[in-house]
Amino acid sequence: MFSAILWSQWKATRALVLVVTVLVFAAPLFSLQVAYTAFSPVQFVSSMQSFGALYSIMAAVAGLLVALSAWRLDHAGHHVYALALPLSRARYAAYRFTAGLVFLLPIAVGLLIGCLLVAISGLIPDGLHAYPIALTLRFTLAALVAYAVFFAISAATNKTAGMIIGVIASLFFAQYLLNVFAGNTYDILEPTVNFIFVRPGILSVFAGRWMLVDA
Amino acid sequence: MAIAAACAAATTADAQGTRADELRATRARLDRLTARWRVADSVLKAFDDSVGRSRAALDTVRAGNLRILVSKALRAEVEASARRRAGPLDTLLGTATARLTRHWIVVRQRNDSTLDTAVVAYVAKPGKAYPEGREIDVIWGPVADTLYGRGFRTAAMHLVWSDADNPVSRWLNAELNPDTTTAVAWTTVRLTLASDQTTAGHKCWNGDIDACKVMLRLVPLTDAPTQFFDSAGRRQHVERNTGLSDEPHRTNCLRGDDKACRALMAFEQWSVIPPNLLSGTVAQLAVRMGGSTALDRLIATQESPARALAITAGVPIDSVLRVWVRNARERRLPSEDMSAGIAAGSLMWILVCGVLAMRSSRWR
Repeated sequence: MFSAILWSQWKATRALVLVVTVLVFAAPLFSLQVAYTAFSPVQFVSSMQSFGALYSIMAAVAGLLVALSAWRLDHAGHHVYALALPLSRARYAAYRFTAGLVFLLPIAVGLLIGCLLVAISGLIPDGLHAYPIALTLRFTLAALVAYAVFFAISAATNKTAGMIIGVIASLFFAQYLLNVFAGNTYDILEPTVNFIFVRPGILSVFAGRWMLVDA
Repeated sequence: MAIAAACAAATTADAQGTRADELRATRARLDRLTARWRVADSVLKAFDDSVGRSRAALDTVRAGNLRILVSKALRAEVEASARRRAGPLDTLLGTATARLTRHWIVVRQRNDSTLDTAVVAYVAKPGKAYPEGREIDVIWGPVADTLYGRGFRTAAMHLVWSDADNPVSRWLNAELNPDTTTAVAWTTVRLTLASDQTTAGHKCWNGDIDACKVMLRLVPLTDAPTQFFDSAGRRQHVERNTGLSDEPHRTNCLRGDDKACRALMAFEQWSVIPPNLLSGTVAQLAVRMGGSTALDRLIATQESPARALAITAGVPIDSVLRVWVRNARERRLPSEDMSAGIAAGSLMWILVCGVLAMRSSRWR
């Protein structure tokens, strides 16, 4: 059963996976091409650092696309196919979830190859070090987290999705009211953002420095 | 002709008048500033005097080599904290901690806040203007053991180093932190050396100890352009620095006339000599290599910096520099990209989201 779901999901996802894999593979090579013009190691590191955000964005996009495509056919068919199968809903969701995890692997491998090519290129200035495996592991974990979050939201009912959006909107509205009635004394957004992005927050893997080449 | 001469005379007289006005205005401004400085200085002296006299009202605490004057209300906790910190300070400063017995650290309760706050200070060496020694604040904040700990450590390092009045202290041009050099500091050394645009910097990075001595100013700089650069380096330096603007020399230098390059760079010394930012790490290394009496030796010696470092480390200066270059090349920070914490946190959230997706009530 899992192989059937894997195959059907692969057909829906492969084009996206291919495009993202190519982009992710090219990113380290492009960053090297840009940084190579630096005339000192400090500038080289600085240039490489500016690409850090790109890796985290690509990880988020990869997770989002694979998660949405996992449920796309089910949403389009109003879940008739899934209901026709002799499977519990939990087991079906587990199969879908696992299949999506598998499809993130080619993307991670693409990034690893790109990073390794940079590391062995001989173009990294003396005194600096490449971290291809560490960066690939972080990218993979970030993509998996993004995938898991979007998969869960996509799997939820419209009511749940609405509640999530409602909570976010309420926070902004509450901050607006606080600003109006209490001046700028209270800030509830910053602690919330810290709660999400500072370890062990759900999106903390995206925060911080993403460095392929560092001192 | 007569009109022209009259105009010229009038212009000259006018110019002289303007200069005289400017001079008068400057003198008046100087007088005003001097008067203000006198007022400020007298206020400061009065404050320092009152602080000095108020020391008589403080309790005395001795813990190891630390001598502390403390407000009565804080005595018990400061004494307990000092006793805990005395041992680690002995380890950090070695035999040099004995120098602390000649100095005072002050812990005062502060009354200018609704919080219970304290300030840790040390009494600097007495001078002509301040015969009782000025109190220099080190740290202040809410009363806490960590405040005292940080204050004692910083004050102790200031006080011990204040005894150093020798060529090596002038060479360092900053206070020495005798603690072990951190990986961050080694990273800074590595990047500074690897990025240095002088030939000496590159050679030092590749292990040429004589070049390191030039970079660290451990040898006298008699001819900076030739000490820091080879002929190709000099040409590159002139090519890069468009500010070196003596045009005939510059043109000749870029054509390959090394004599012109040297003449131009000798004239523009300021652009040739890179700042000496790395001496602190060498001194730290020498202190660490030299064991518990090393800092004491470094403070006491009146030898040249190179000789002083060798005496401190107990090995020849070349050996110290070899270790220094090796550390600069090899000590590095672990990658921030991945850690067990990041992995564990991420896996936890993947699991949580996966379970939530399976428990969704969409089909129910």
